[in-house]
Amino acid sequence: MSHPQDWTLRQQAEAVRRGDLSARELLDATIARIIERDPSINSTPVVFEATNREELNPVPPGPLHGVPITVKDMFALPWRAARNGTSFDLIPASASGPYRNLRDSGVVIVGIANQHELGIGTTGTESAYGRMGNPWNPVHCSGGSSGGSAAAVSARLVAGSLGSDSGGSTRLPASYCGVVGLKLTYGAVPYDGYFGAATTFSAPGVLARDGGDARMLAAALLQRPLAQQSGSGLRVGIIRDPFWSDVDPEVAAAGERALGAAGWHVHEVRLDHLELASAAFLSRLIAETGVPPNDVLATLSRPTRSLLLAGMLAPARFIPRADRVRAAVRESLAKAFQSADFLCWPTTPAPAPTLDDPRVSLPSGSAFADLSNVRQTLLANLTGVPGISIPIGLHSSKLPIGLHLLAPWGGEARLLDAAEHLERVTDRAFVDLVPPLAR
Amino acid sequence: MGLNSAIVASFLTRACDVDSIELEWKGGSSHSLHESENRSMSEFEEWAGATYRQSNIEVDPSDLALIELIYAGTIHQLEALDHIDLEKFPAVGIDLRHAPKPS
Repeated sequence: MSHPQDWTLRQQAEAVRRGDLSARELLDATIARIIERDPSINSTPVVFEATNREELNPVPPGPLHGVPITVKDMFALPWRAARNGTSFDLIPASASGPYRNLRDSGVVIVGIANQHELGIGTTGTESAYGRMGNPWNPVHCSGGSSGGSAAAVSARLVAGSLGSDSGGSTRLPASYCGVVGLKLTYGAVPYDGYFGAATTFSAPGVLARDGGDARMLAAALLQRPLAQQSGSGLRVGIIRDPFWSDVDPEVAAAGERALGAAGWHVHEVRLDHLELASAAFLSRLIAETGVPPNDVLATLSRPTRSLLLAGMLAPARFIPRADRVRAAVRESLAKAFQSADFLCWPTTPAPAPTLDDPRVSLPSGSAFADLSNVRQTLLANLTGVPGISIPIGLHSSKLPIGLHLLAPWGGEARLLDAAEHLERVTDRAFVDLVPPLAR
Repeated sequence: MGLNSAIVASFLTRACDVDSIELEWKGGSSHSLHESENRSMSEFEEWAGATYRQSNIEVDPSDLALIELIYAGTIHQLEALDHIDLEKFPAVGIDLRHAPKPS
C-alpha cells in the first residue's frame, strides 16, 4: 500500500469515509512524512502533534473529515496565534473566519505552513522560521509568500494547504513548486483573524496537487459547492505585452503549448490603463501595510524592515489618484471579460531562482524575482477577481512552469473547470509530475 | 512597468554598497541617487529621522541608506500617477464587496 500522502485529497477523504484508514492513522502517517521529508525544505516548521491527538475526536463529519492540511501563519487558530512569519504572536489565538469554514468541512490542521515574513516577498528567502526550499531543488526558492504551503503540497507532506494572496502569494509559489494555487475572490470568506483583513488586496487561497483537490478545498473554504462543468471550448483572452513578451522563452513556449493542447479559442485583448496598474497597486499597498511595533520591526530582516520604513515616507497625495486608476482598471477588466471567459498568461516569468541569488533572467534583462513576479499577478489583487496557477511542465532547469488564469468575479468554478480540462487533455502529465524530494 | 531591478536587487541580495550604487531607470540614463532627488544623504537622514521620531518608530541609522534607495525607487514608480488626466480617470467609488462593471 502506498503512503496516504501520495494520494490526492479526494482519495484521502474517501479512504477515511469508507473506513479503509482511520483519521488517526492518516494523521500519524502525515506527521511521520513531515518529520522525514521536511528538513531540506522547511515548509512546515510547526506540527501540532499533541493538539491533534486531543482534537481529533471532535472533528466534524464534513466532506474532508480527518484529512490533514497545513495553514499559513497568517490565520489565527483556536490554539495558536498568527505570527505572519515573525516570532511574535500578532493575532491572538482564536478561531479565524477561514479556519471556521475549513473546520466545518472536517479537516485536521496538522501544522503551520512557513511563509515569507509579513507576506512581503515572493521568494520565501526571509522568515523567522528560516527560509524555504523548493522540493524540485532545495537550493531554489519555493516562492512566496505562501511558500511553505506550496512546497509541502509539492513534496507530498500534505495534499492541501490554506494560503493567502495579496499580490500573487498563492499563485506564485504554486508555479514555482508545480502545484495548483487558487486565489479566491476578494471578500468571499470571513476575514476575522486573518492578516489579509488589513488590506483591500488580500484573499485566502488554496494549494493542492490538481484541480479536483483544489475544488474540494475551495468549496470547503467558501462553504458553497463549486459545480463542475466542461472546460472545453472556452474563450481565452491574452495580453501579450508584458505578460507573454517579457518572460523566459521556454516559459512562453510551454504556455503556448498548453493553450494549444486545451483547444480553447484564443484571442488578444487590450486592457486599458494596464500601464498604471502597478503604480496604483503600490500606492495603496504602502498605505495599507503600515509599520509594525518597534519590537517586531527590530527583528525583521533588513530588506523587509527597510521596505516598510521607506513606504511610510511616501506622500499621501498619490492615494486618491491610485483609487481613480484602480476603478478604471476594474472597469476595463470587466469589459475584457465580455469577450473572454478568462484571461491567461504565464504565472511567473521564469522558474524559481536560487535562494542565494533570487534574480531571474528575462528578455528585458536581469530582474529581481519579486518585481517581475508581482507584475504578472497583481491585476487579480487590484481588481479583486479570482486567479489560478496551473502546472504546465518543466523548464530545462528541471523546475516547474505555471500558467496563470484570471476569471470574472466569483468565477472560481470556471478556473477549476479550465484546470481540470487541461489535466484531461494532457493525461495529467503535469499535475502528476513528482519532484525529486518525493520520489 | 516599473523601476529597474538593479535597485531592489541590490538590497535584496544584501550586496548593498550604497556609495557605489547608481540608480538605473528603465529607458533612462544612470544617475546617482542624490542627483535624482536633489537632496543630500544628510538631508534625507534629517527628514526621515524626524518623521520616524514623530511616530515613535525606532530606526537603526545604518538602515537609512537602504531606506533612501527604496524610497527613491518607490517615488519614481508612483510619480506615474501624477501625470494621469483626471478627466479620463473620474473619481468613482469602489465597492470591493461587488464585481466591477464595464463602463
